[in-house]
Amino acid sequence: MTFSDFHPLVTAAWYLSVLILTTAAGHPVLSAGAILFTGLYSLPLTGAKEKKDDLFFYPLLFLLVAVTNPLFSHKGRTPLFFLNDNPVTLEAILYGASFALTLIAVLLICKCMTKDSSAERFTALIGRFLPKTATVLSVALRYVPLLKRRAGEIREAQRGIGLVSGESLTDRVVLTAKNYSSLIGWSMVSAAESARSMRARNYGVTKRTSLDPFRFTARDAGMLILIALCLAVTVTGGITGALRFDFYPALAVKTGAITAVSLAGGLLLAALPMLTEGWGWMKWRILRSKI
Amino acid sequence: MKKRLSLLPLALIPVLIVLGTVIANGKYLLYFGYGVAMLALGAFFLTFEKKENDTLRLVILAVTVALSSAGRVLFAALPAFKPVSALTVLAGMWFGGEAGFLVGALSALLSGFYFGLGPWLPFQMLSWGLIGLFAGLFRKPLKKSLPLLCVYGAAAGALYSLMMDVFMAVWKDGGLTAKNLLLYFTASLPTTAVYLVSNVVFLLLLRKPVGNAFERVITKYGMEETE
Repeated sequence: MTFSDFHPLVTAAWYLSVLILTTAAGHPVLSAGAILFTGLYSLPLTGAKEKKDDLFFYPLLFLLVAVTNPLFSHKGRTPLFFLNDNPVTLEAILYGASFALTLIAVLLICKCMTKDSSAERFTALIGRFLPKTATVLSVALRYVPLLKRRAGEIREAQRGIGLVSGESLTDRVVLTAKNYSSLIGWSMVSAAESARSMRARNYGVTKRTSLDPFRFTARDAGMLILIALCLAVTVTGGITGALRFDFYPALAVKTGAITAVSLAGGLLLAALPMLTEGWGWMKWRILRSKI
Repeated sequence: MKKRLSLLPLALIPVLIVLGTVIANGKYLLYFGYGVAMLALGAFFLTFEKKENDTLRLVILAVTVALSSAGRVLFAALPAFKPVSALTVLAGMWFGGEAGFLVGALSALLSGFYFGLGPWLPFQMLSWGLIGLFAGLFRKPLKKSLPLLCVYGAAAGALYSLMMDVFMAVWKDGGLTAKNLLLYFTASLPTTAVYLVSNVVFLLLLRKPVGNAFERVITKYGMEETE
């Protein structure tokens, strides 16, 4: 069982709530937790090369944001040293680091979202409310691979009659644009043909039904309730001010039992996909060892 | 004319954003921005759903969306040269402002599924949508004068880049000041320059053949031109 086996509504709810929570709270503990859990969750989703790139990219991004913030922001009460007569403050460095964590958390969450939410899931989600938009999207989805194939055919035909682009950038841009134009001309006509075929089969005459291959089961409902509970706990904490983590003018961190509970809620929320994945993996291990 | 006026609220969004900056500058500006973007997109798509549907129009627009998303792949050999804005502008000019908005916004969404979704998605959808919408509203002068079209393409690139800068400034600093906006704008100047140049180059290269292809589908298959 993986997280993307849940109903699109459930995964969409999770992604939205965790994204909003991470950005809105701006709390370094929540951001770091989100990085850890979604990072672990993304491990089986990414290839070896991508992992290597990520290990390079995210620390670099962290350094870049954390270092540049104090250079531009001079708010804060504790100047550490002066650079060109401008104070470099402790608070600005800490805020830069914290914001970098939030930024990386959001990027990682979005990366997982791209990996495990296909456009099909998205169209199924909006199909009920926006049937026409969903139709446009799914037709477009069908056309993208078709267009890529046709672009290849056009390129080969061009090569066949001896039209090969030069090495220079202008040559390549002009030839690609030319092939692209042929592709557009070709696709317009075939689109008109598709439309005629759809019309012949009474598209849009009766009330539209939408294909929904996803079943909302008790398991989905359970997960949705869990998400809502975690969110409720953390948001309540946020509203009562238990999640305050101010950097300017001076570092002010709220601690206490309520803070701990709301942080736990947020962390559990962020960990849900990883836990699902881990649960599936454990089950697999246990069942396999019995054979 | 009446139909065109119904699109005007969307054009007022940038004004709203600036107003929001003056009134609600501070911690809530980011939510304000997301609210505005989502409302504008929601309003547009709900209006689009309510309209009488012409199957040919739907399919042509869908294929144009696919073309601009596929364009991002086809031009992969030329980094940062992406025909999405140019195609959005051309779709707006030939198929009307509504079509332009739809093509721009859905291209952003669809290519997001291929290249990565991010927190900037609503703003990206809105900016590209507006680029297409305005191209549709000013289609007459844009069709008539090629230099004007190039200026529009360059301006569209700048608008798109500026929207992303505003988003970044608001997100990180929790507010918008002339100083931090200028900072992000200078930092993103190289990317902005590439956007400007590639928009103009693509408009110059594609205007004629794509315009002809769009024109042809309008006359040959009787697609309604105006909205």
